[in-house]
Amino acid sequence: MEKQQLVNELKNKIIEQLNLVDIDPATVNANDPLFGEGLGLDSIDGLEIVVILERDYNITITEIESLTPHFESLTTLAEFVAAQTAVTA
Amino acid sequence: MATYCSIQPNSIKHNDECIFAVRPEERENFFLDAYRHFGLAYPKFHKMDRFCQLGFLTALPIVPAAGKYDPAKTGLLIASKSGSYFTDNHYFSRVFAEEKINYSPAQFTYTLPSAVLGELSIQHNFQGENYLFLQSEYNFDLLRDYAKSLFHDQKLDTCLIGWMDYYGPDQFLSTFLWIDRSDLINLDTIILNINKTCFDYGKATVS
Amino acid sequence: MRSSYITAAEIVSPLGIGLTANFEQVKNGASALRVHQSKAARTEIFCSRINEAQEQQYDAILATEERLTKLEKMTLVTAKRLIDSTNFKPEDSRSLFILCTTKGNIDLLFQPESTIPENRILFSESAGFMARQLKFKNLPIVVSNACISGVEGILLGRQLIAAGVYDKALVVAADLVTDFTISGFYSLKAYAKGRCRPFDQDRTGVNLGECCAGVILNHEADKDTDMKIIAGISSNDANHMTAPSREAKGLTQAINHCLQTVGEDKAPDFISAHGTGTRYNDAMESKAFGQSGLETVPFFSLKGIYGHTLGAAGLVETVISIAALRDNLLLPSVGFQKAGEDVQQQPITQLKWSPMRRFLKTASGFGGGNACLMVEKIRA
Repeated sequence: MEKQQLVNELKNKIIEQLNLVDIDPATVNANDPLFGEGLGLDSIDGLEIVVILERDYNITITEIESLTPHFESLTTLAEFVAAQTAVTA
Repeated sequence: MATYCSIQPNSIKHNDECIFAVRPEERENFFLDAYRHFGLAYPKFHKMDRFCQLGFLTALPIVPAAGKYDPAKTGLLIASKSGSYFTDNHYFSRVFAEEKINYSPAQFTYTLPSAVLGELSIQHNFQGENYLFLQSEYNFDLLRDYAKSLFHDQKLDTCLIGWMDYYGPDQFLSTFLWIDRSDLINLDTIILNINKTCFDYGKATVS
Repeated sequence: MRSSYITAAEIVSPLGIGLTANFEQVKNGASALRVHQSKAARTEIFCSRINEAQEQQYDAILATEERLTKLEKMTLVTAKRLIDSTNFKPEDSRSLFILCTTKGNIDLLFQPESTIPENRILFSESAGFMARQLKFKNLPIVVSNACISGVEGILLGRQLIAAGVYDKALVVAADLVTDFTISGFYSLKAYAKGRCRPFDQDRTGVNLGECCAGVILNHEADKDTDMKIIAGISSNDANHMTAPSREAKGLTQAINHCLQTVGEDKAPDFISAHGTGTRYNDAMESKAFGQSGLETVPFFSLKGIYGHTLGAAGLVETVISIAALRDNLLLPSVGFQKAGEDVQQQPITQLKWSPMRRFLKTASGFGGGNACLMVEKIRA
């Protein structure tokens, strides 16, 4: 899958799973921070993203702490997903 | 100075004055519209379940601004009959619908009736005694007795007490009261009036 | 303020029925934690559960035609033991029934074929049903504040007795292990791999447990009464829905209140900690002990024995701690091997006799709540 396509797919899944009602997908940029500022997600939202990764991409997460660099933005997340799914393909 | 807020489907009252209402045909968006009406930018609101959103909205008009109360001496006492009944069912039907478990850690945190204590404490910085009671009959007597006792013990100087139920989109009610020490002398009268005004409480039940 | 004496204490658990039987097991180093396969967790987990044979024992004890949920059986057996061991009269207008639970009869959701009336899934309806079975005249109160429920139930009874609203309270706390709660803790990545290890450097989370415990509180002591509640309070971190405040602000505030209430010459001889085995709780609790000047007070967690019994935990652990205080025994913190850098003191590792007068019980939970109470032995 094209990276941009994966970024958009992840964006929509996150907005839906996390019920981000007041967020317009068009205003969310691929390089915006996911946590703290930007989308302003917190640690529980992070666990919801883990559910998406495990359920929709068959990625098994064993160490939550190792995810921090991959969760910086949609871009880094898409790169992580692409790398993990390429490994299992 | 005692002040109260009451919510039932489609309207919000603050000290007997209606401050927000939607027409019956618009009631599907009541919570979202009420949130927008108050003009608050609090994205976490959308993550809450309806029970917490109900508590959140009921407290909003009556809790004073930060600095007007001592967080460590502010209590939060809420009673309910429904508790997290609706959210528990929602979680169950979402997570266990299929053979494969469909996890939702965010939703799980709301399958506790006391989640509303957490949300209100975070929003208003309530650090004092906090309780969630489940009772089968609507009245504020326990809340009155317990609050009084905590005031006398010098554990509290201010307190938010309230009753709330959420059974479904058309079946919810809440009444919250904010009191401080000066209200203790009149508290019995205030509570008598509140007990009378919402007499339909507690009759809603599991169908 | 009118006092609250503890005139009875009981527990019904996977280790057995009754406080005597349970405490024997605890002294012998038993743990109720067993391997369990649940579809709500991808790997096998440890938890502590009451099995079918034990449930049948409860049926035999209760000998009733009424259909009861598992939680109701556990609660009624505990309540009856409490009532039978004292002169407590449920029908008295000055007697109150308090139930503490986080999920009540949540197993009913998994039993669509159950013939138990659907409204008993409401905590207040189940409590009302049980109150009538026990012959209470007053409407019961259910306390549900996550993992601090068990302690708060005692605080509620104590406060209402002090205020003169009631003279006696029967406080019972119970919770089940179900796929409902397993799914939640597992998805929060808070369920331990293997057995839970409170305060240990390699701890990875909780093991859930099901249990029921209860006490009778009375404004008067009788000739056998040896325990009294001398302080207690709850607080809130006002910080995060599932994680405790890193600075341990709320729990420190609550502990300090208790210590100030009893005065310097009544420091606790041990702390019955919450010690769930999660990274956050145990680090926070350890910090709170240090910040309130209790860094040299011996402490233990009982969750390596009973698991995390959620709403019941505070009461289960208070009851076992009462037995320990009575026998002057410091209990080992099962599951602990080595302290990590984030835990400032080491819990007790060996059963040890030590003459003692009082203990502090601490609890913290989802929603930011903290609660503690202090129990004093008033006669040897």
